[in-house]
Amino acid sequence: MTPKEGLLEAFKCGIPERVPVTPWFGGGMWILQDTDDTWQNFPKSAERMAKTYVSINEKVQSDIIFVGSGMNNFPVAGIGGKIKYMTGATPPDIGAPFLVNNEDDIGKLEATLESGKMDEDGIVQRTREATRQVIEKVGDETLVCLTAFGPFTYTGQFMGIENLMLNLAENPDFVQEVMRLATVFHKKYYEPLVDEGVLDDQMVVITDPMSAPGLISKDNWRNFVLPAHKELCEHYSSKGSYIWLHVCADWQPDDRWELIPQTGADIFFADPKFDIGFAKENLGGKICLGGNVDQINILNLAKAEEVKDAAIHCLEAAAPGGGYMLSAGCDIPPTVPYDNVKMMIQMGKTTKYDDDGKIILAK
Amino acid sequence: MASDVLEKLHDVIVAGKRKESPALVTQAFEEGIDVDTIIDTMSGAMNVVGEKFSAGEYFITEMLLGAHAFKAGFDILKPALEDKVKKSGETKKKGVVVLGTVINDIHDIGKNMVGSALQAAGYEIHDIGIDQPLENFITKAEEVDANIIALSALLTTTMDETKNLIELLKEKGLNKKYKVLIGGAPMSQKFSDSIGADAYAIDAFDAVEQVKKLMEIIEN
Repeated sequence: MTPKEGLLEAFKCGIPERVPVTPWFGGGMWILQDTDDTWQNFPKSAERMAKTYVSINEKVQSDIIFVGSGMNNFPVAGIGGKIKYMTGATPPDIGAPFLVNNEDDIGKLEATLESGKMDEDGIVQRTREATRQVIEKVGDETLVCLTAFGPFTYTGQFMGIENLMLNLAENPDFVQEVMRLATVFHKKYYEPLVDEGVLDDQMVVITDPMSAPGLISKDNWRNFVLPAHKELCEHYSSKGSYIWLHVCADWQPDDRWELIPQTGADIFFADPKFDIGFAKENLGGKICLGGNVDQINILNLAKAEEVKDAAIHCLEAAAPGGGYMLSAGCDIPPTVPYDNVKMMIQMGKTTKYDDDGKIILAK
Repeated sequence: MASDVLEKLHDVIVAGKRKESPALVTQAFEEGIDVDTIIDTMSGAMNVVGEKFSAGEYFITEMLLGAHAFKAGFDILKPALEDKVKKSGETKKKGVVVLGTVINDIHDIGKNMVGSALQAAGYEIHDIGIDQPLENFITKAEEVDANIIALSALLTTTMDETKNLIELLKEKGLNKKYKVLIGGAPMSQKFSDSIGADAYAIDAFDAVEQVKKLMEIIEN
């Protein structure tokens, strides 16, 4: 079984030979620091990007390669959003002035999306090309994805997060309209790769941190976020791609758990603040789970032995019966020591399943 | 018959009806209600917002609306408050906080809510904005004779700036002069302890509690 086959088995909530593993969700910041590069320079060459992802993965041995990690705001810049570069490995962000300030701007955004402006953007073109090249090189054995934010977060990037939050209560129809366009935007970002069949049996990402529990209510999640996620998952599934869903933050036991499998995503990737055992108990068999070693307090601040303990905790809580991928709880800081990354990978690769789906931890 | 303007003001802040709070503050003034009573009503309403957030009944959306409703009313009240302080000759402040988001980080919702919650609790807030170099926090703190420097960082790549500020304060010999409060999504009490921050706040209303505790330490 290749790493990819193992992962796809887990996506079906099945039992692979061993526990699939990735040390991060994305790893863009870590890769940038490891290669001593900058966000201004990294996307200048598709070939170099592709080589970097492949060579780093030869070293790290993750079962997934996340092309474009840390670059989720570039497509917004590609349609005219104001990108702000930071120093170090901090990913560029979108700031004011925003693309949508009031309802009059909706038509302009719609026209921009229809105009194909995003496809003319050099960084978008090169990121897609790097995805093609990585898939060409390693896509048979390793699952490859191109990362993106989800539609609620892109809505925040289009109109400003505070404006989004306020309008959610004061002008929900306005937010629904921008959400509709953010969903179109997500599809358009992936469209050439989907149409070419490049992402057949590969993966699409919906990471929607702005829709986190704590930020918006369950009702708002059900009314605004779920329909958009559903639409995207149905769309990409029908085209032959898998879907990785991540929403950060603290998912409480009495929260919106039952809505997650309704999205139709293949894997739900859990923040370290949520109880992976509770998730397994409530979602196991309905959706594959990924997570959730603490990327800050454990991976960044602790020693490799503590990483091992945290990984064992996750493995024992969520791996039995399959349908699970060991990983960090969110993207890792660039300062995570390599020894800790290595320990995460080792814990997944050495944890096998027996015929009954019980895990066998390496001695 | 006594007007129900204060009750209405309380309710519109709790409900986050930010467009209605200024008119109610104005009406309360016109009815001769003193500034302290009005501010107490508004602070009480913000406490209710905080309680609802802690209980999981309110989310950031509702907190933001409450904070905006408070601020819109407070802006009407501010000149009268300043006038009152001037006339009374009272100089003692409840506490002065310099607040900002660290450099390379342009997130401001959490910071703004902390500002509103602290303001509602009666503290003097100097918000220096987002993407701020560490020197700016110190310069502002020196300028306004602050008690506390409160830093927000929402990214794993920017959270170390909080540690850098503590080191910078030590270098400048100012670490005993200012208490440092940190907050933001990736942070934790463990992280706060590891960098030697004086306090960590999990959310805006916890920030009020933490500032209260820090002020007690400062005053004793």
